[in-house]
Amino acid sequence: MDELHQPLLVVRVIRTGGFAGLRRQWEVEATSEDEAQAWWPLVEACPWDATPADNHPDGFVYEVQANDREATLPERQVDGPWRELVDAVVDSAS
Amino acid sequence: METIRGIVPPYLLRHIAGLEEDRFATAAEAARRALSERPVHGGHAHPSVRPPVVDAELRRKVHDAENGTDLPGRLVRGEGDPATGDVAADEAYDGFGATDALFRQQYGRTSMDDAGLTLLGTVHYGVAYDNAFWDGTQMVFGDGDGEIFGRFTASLSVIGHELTHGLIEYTAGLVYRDQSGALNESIADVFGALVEQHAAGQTADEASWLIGVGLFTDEVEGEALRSMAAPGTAYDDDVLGKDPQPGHMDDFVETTQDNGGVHLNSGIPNKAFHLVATELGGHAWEVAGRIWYETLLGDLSPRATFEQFAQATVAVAENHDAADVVRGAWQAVGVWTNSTSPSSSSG
Ligand SMILES: [Zn+2]
Repeated sequence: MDELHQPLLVVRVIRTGGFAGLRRQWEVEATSEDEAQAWWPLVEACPWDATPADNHPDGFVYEVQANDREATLPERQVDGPWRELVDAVVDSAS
Repeated sequence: METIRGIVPPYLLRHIAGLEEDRFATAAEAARRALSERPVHGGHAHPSVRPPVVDAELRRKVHDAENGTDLPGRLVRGEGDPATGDVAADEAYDGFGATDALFRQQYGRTSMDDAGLTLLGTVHYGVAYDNAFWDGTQMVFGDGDGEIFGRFTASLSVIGHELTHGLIEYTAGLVYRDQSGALNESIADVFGALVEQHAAGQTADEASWLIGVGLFTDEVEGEALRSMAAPGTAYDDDVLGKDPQPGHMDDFVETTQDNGGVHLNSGIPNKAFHLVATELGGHAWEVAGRIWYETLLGDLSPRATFEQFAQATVAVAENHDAADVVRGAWQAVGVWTNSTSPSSSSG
């Protein structure tokens, strides 16, 4: 595979749960150094090792992946840097 | 007067109280004490020791989040206030009333806590928000994105479903994960459907057994979000795909997503309830609904499995001359095979 087109960073958001129980997925790929540089601060700002809180009934569940990092978050925990990252991925991918 | 509530939510107290490991003994004991001291309690106490209800009139408060996410938002309609003219706010107000009517008139229950707790709701939550939920204190409804979903108050079964999540928190406290979470979801669907049937005066044969009719826009190929009569058939759409709910244990979905597939595997106990209701006939809330309601108030573990819940419903059904029908329904959805089914205890 052409090294130039290997994505440097892949950020994926998978949303499940909610009243409807529908699965939605959004993904961005940074293929250039410049693109990756733009995404990294958003990724780094998130508390990836924080303990997930309990979900409330019918709250969405977010699975966020950035290369080898991964976190599963109930909707109520998606605020601050998580909210910024998730919204940025959803907006870029939509 | 608002009902007094402790800072630790009752479902958490119940969860802690249920812990059996030695290292949690102190916390568990404290939680049991807190539960027993609560003026408002769940179903583990015998009905006869319930304190007298002083003020248990229906009280509703509907708020408007004005497309923000701060809860509860601005109060737009309190109990007895005239209609606001805002469709979502008025649907929530009326839906709370219809839900209260089922539980009050048929089961003698006064609000979720059986002590007249004010029913709180918020409409117009977020921007194009595709969801409705119970946050532990109140019900929250989004407007939908307008492409896939319209407003979430449009279906009475959705309003009844959310309020039932509150009821479950005050009674069995089913943990919202894996099988106990799927039971939580299913019971919310059961009473959501019964609220609709009760309001329309429908019998089990007349009812649609659909959850969330009218939520999808015309763009979507589907009539509802879930079908209790035929799980997996509510929608089949190019964009959304096909309704993924199983209706039998053979198709039970093992997943870590959606809190362990709580909105998927709920199709199995949903189908069991539908079988009981249609087999018994008549108004589903009268016997089938009462069996499920009494099971919720009984001695059910917060982490109950499908099989434990099924056993509990059969035990309750003995008192309603319906044990064979209930046992047969759980067999039909594969929770029991013929050989593992508990035998009748009436002999
Ligand atoms: Zn639910």
